[in-house]
Amino acid sequence: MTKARERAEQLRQELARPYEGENLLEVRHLKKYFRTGSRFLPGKSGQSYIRAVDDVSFTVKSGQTLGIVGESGCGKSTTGNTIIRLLEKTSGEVYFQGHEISDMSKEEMEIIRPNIQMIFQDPYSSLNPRMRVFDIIAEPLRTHRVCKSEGELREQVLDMMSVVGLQPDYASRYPHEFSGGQRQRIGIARALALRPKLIICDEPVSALDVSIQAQVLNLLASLQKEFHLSYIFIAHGLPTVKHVSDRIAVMYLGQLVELAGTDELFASPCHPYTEGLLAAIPIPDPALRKERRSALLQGDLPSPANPPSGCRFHTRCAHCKEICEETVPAWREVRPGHFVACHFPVENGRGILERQDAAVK
Amino acid sequence: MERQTTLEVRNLNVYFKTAGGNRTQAVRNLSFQVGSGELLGIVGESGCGKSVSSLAIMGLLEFPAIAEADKICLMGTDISKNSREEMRKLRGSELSMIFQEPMTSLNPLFTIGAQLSDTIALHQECGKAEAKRRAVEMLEKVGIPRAEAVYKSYPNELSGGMRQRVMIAIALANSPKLLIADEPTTALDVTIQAQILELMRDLIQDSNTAILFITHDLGVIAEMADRVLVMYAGSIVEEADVMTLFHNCAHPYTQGLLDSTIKVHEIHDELRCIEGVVPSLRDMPSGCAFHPRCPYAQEDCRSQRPELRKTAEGHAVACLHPLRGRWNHD
Amino acid sequence: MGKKNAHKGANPPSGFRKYAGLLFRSQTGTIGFFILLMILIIAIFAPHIAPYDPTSVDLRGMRMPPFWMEGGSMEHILGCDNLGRDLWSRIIYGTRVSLLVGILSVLLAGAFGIVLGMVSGFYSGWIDSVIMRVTDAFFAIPRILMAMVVLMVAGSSVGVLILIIGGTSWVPFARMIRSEVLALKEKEFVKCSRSIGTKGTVILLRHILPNVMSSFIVLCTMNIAGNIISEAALSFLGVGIQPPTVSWGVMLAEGRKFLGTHWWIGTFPGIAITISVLGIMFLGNWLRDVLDPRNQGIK
Repeated sequence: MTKARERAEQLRQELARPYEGENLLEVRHLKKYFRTGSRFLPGKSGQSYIRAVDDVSFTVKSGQTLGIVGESGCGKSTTGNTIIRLLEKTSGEVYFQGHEISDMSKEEMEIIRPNIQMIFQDPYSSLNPRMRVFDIIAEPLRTHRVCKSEGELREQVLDMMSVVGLQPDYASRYPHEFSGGQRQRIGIARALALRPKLIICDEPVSALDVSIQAQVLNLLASLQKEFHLSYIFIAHGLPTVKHVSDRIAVMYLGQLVELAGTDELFASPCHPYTEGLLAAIPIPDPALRKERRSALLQGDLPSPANPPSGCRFHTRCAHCKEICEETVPAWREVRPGHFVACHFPVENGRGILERQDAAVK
Repeated sequence: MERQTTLEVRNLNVYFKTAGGNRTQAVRNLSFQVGSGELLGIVGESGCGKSVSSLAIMGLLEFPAIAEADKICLMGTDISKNSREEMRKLRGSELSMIFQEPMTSLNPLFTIGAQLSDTIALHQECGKAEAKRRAVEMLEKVGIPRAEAVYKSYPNELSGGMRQRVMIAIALANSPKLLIADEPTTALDVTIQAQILELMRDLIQDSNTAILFITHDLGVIAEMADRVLVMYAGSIVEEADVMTLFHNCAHPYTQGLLDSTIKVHEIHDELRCIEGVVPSLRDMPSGCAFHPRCPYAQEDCRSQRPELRKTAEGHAVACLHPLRGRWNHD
Repeated sequence: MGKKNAHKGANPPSGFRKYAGLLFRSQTGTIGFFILLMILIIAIFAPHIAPYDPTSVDLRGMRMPPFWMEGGSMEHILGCDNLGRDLWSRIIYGTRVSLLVGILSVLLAGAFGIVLGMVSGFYSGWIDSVIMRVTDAFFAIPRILMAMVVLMVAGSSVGVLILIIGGTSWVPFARMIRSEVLALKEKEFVKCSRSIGTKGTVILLRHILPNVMSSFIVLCTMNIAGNIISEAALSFLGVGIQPPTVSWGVMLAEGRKFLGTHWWIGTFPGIAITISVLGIMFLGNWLRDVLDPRNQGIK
């Protein structure tokens, strides 16, 4: 008993110090399957699994942002939820500052939790409509008994509000009195209140208007510098991910297909899916309109309940060969820091940064 | 190229009746025209009145919203005073619309084929067999593989992208004069969005349908539109052809929108944002509605409401102090 | 009354005044409030208001019609029943029992139902299955029949009546609360709270409970009305309140025999039930609107 307590105390002290290591979070072979169908029925209606996250590994570097991007059903949100243990993993490991957290006991997880927070997509359902702004932001502080007195709590909450650009007299209002952007600020203040090291942002701006998106993205960027935060930034839109991320991981049907530095990924993608994804982004410049088209992906997303064999992308891939239908491609490093899971990675992938350079010349 | 005017809207106003007998104005003096074969983009943020205006043109506004217009001319005939029944006949044949949600805009209880051939049979005088033949033809035209099989399937058996293709097929089934597309790709994944945009471009290339394309995404506008209306708080703030808008815009709001759009194709994109929030309809600022958020606002912007003025051929702006060449591409 | 204090407590600062203002801006709310206030006053001060003892018999006044009819008099404004007891006094005394049974049985059913509903909705799994099967079983038993059996075996008193009416009317509470909790549980603010590390019980009390309160209150008021009617029905069937105790149901039962000849004996208690049920429902609807912070800006 005392040994456990000693270990907890040690963990607490370690987490209180800033982290010196390179990889704040490391995910290894993470899997999350959901069971569907009935256990008792045979055949099609019988038990099967949706492999929402299937063998995903990546690291989040301290003070940096890792973007996770993919289309609906690719498992990006499930990955985030599993890391923070809103969902329990099926298998795999998650290391936070070198500590395995996905199997940690409830008590020890209590100590870790303040360090990993989350910002949600929908600013309308992520705030309890019956709670005042003050109580919403104070909730994490109260849960973890951070403040010794009511006065200190008040000070901390108002401090957080000013950090995210909310006026202090908003504290006694209810969420419905705010616009989407302001609500998202409230959500950010709540996530920041415990001074976490890692924030998982699950599509934090996709429900907002363009001009408000820019406000929130800029806020997140300035907070990162101020508090030395690391982000996992989950989004379906490449533009936002590009803007905030140092490195980007591309997911397709529960698996990572490519991971590289942002500029490299946008300039020369190696995976045909990434190439198609980049070609699909509408570019806000009519002068570049005619130059694209050829790399557009055809076909629909297959269902994650019944993913294609071999390389999961082979049904939509223009370069598909026999081996792609049979063998799952290995996750390998094609250039320093540039990983890809493809049997025939594109040699000179057409990104959209490169073309812009050409256009300027 | 000389274009025939398909739709002309003059001074469209939309009001919402509120509880106390008051009314708030959602759209103010909207005037524009679209020519045949032209794709007019309408861009703006939520609450700017872009969707409400399109519903008003379709005659689909319901209480408490009320539309008033000097005229709404479709192919030269004024339809603003039309009765409900007359409008109903126009919809689906001359006028048609694609909505944002492909999941909810199809009736889940009927097959794709039934919904499509109903639309055809309703407006074209033809028998059941003929309607079916045309329906399958339409499905093939919008790039649906195995059209015969899809004809017999129910909406829930199709993916979002396929459903939106079906919606486009229904909308175009009777070769309408005007098609209104209200955020047709917002609910779709990026790769599917690209497919749908490509499809729409192909379909309109060889038809003379005029299209109103409503979106909040400047990227989509840059890809699709010939001409663009920028709306803010119920009014048009700028009207220009797409090149001018992106390279030589004159309204500070347009500039702000462009600045806060992420430039995916540039290495170091800087994101400048528009401060503040969109004003609510009940609480409109005096003078220029944009002045509280405008970095160039001057004293007269507070009191004087700017009218939409022509500054060059095909370029109009509603600003007292329009920008000149401040946002150039190099 | 208790309810009012509770909601005052939940919104301390400008509480009472604000709600009074809000109340009088709503027509139905005002009507409901005054009806309930009137009924409460009548119930509390019954001995002072009633002109006669509800059980005292005036032989001259046997089956006397209300004062505006031929043969009526101002001595007995609503007339008398078949034994010559003053109807007005009996209705006033009857308020006590009817209201007591109505409110207490709902509080009992509500408390039971909200706990079961929240537990079963929030901690799904085997607990949920067990609770819901029990609920289904209760739902399948005809309420009135079961109440009659129990009352006949256990004997009839106000206490037993409250227990039996309350104990058979919790099913809709449990079901509705459960379905609301199931929906709320998936909301992002609940997920967020879990990601912060908040304990399950705290989430239930701080996030879920306030959000089910408005539907709960509406269901409560509708059930007060329903339970007053249940009490009337049981008394009418002769297994509820036993004479000489007066309740509206008992009066209704007695009046039944004379409905063709002396309509007033059964009609006035009926009107009393209708008015109070309406009043409570008006107030309930208003409460639902006002307890939702989203509506406060508008009304």
